Amino acid sequence: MKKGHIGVWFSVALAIFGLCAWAGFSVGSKYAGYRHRQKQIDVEKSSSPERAPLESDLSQFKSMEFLKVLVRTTQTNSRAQKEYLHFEITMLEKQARQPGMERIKNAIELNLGLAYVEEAIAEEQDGNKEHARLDMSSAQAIFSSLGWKDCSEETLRAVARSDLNLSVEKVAEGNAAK
Amino acid sequence: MTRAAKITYSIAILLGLIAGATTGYEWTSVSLEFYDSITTYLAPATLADYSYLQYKHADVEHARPALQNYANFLEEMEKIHSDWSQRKHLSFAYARLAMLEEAANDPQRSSILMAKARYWYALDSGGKEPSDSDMKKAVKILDENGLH
Repeated sequence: MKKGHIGVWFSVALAIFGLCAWAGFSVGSKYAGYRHRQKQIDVEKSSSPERAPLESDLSQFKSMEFLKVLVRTTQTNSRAQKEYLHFEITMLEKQARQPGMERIKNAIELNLGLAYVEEAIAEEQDGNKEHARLDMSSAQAIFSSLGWKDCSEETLRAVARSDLNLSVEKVAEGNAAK
Repeated sequence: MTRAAKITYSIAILLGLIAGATTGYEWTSVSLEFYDSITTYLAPATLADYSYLQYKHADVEHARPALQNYANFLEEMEKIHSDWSQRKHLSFAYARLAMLEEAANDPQRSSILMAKARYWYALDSGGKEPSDSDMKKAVKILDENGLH
């Protein structure tokens, strides 16, 4: 066998191995996701009727926290942060409209209000004053419906900023707890 | 294609698929488990933030159900998974509710709620209940430092 042929064989075999590993990774990953979902469904099914609303609330809180964490991870990239903030707002609005959310609707609304304030701050930093104004007034309407005594821009900005810092600390605490 | 090439390529396909699938499965499982553990830890925090912000900024009519909702949630959680920090949060939630009722001129309801706050606090303090003023002092310190 010629040495040149072995080199070609090896390269082709390596390329095939890489492609198959990529395909396998994708399949394995999807299967893990499927197994995880099945496990969650089993847990929900095995829950007692009294525990079902709690499990449902926990699952909603988890998705809210996931959205928050997603936004926090993009804090250093303003473009990505805006995209994720917009995604968070869309998802929270959808979540608030879902049936059976009465128990936690106000908590969703509060998070939605905070997301609007954060988006307003991000838009303002990018010079989009009109967009920032619209976001801020959406936030003010939400906080007013939640009974806030002071819905001024200054207060909402301060609350959003401290919420940002707290979330970062909580993620760090969570990691430490692990 | 020679026989040797066919064998080499078949082995490459097989090994690639096995290695990729195993890595993909393990990697995703570990990520999902990590995500689950983090979000389970953080999930009650969503309600804690909500109730605290409502208590700090909203009127009594809106702050009361937020704190009560949080206290109910923690009590339900206690039945499933008992945890000392959860009980402390529960105690402070009731103490805040009591302080809210006191400010709203309902001393009777306030003392009932403060008794609940003392009860949950005492569970991890060797059964020794703190005084109402100690509970209030503790809540005030937490509030002043933005802790909840």
